[in-house]
Amino acid sequence: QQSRSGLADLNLSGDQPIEIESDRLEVRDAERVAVFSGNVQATQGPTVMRAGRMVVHYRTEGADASTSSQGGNIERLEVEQKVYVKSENRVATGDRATFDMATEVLIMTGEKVVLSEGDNVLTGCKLTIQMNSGKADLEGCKSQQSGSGRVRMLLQPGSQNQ
Amino acid sequence: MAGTKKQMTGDGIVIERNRDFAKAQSHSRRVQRLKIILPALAVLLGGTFLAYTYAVTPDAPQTVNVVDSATSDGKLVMANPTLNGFTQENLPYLLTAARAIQDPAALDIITLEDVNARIPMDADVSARITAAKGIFNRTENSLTVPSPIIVETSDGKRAELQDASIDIRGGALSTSSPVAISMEGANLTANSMQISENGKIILFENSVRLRIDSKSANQQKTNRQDEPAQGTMVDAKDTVLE
Repeated sequence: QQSRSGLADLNLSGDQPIEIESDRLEVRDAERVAVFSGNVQATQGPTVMRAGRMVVHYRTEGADASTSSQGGNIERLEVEQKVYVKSENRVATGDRATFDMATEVLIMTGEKVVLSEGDNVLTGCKLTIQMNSGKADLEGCKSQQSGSGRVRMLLQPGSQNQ
Repeated sequence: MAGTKKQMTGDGIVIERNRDFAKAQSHSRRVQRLKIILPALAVLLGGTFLAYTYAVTPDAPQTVNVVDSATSDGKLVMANPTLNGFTQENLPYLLTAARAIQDPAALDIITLEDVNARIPMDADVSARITAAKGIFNRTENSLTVPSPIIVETSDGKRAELQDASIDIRGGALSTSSPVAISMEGANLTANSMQISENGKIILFENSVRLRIDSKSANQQKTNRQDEPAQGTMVDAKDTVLE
């Protein structure tokens, strides 16, 4: 059975239930945010995301609730403090991530964004993933010693078996 | 909402009242926004507890009618006390209890048994709150509920608390025992909860768990046909090599 792979699975608007756990949740209605903090873990199907803090920005009912994006009334998520995203055998880690429910784009940034699948490891500074297609772009780090902003890719020979 | 400037004109009171009306109106608009998944869980609490009602109720005249009262072992016992009044948005609320007991030695404490309240959240949604016992302190304007509280709203939300202490004037509620909130498409549990500012801020602590059953939560979403992502997670050609 061809298992759908790719971080595309991290699509928070899929049909599978989402479980979010944390030490603390503060809902501030006036600012329309819900802040999960302390060992935050969000799980949906095979995909797990962990971080120190996750801010959920939601839309009020007034706005076009009927045509709201798949995620219901959630507009976007902002995740920070050691962000870890795992989906089957793929892992991405970074300092911060944002996920826009409407465009379904996950952007992970940080000093060192690491994307690994099995033994293949890619490092860069900005990872952009189109959740609906699974297309991912990893951009290198512009300055510092990591060279001229090149993506460092480590491919293990023989691990391309599909 | 920027407070309107107070022009010192003859009808200063009118402006004052319009401001309150506008505040109440914006207030009711804010309450309107209860139909959203995550925040609904929170606003449900803010919008439904006794605190919320008392806090929004100015010292409007409330009629307390008592079917009959008697004294038993020196305490004043009122049977079937009912308290009804109107919230700031002019929506009726009703609070009944099987008995209200008052000890003549401590007149500011009223113990209510089998409390049952019907509280309007907004024009079309109301909440029913039941609790086996409530201790109302008139001077502190607080209500302590040592037993489980069930809140059910007419649009299908439900909250269950093991106990609660409510600061009625301050519009705050806190409990350090487990809470469970459920609604269509989502449920939330935590081991403690604090509501403040009439529900504008809700804080859950100690193993918070929120489960969103996105299928029912966003019925209207059609199932997208994601084409299976081929090959490695990163298509070589897509990797931006600078």
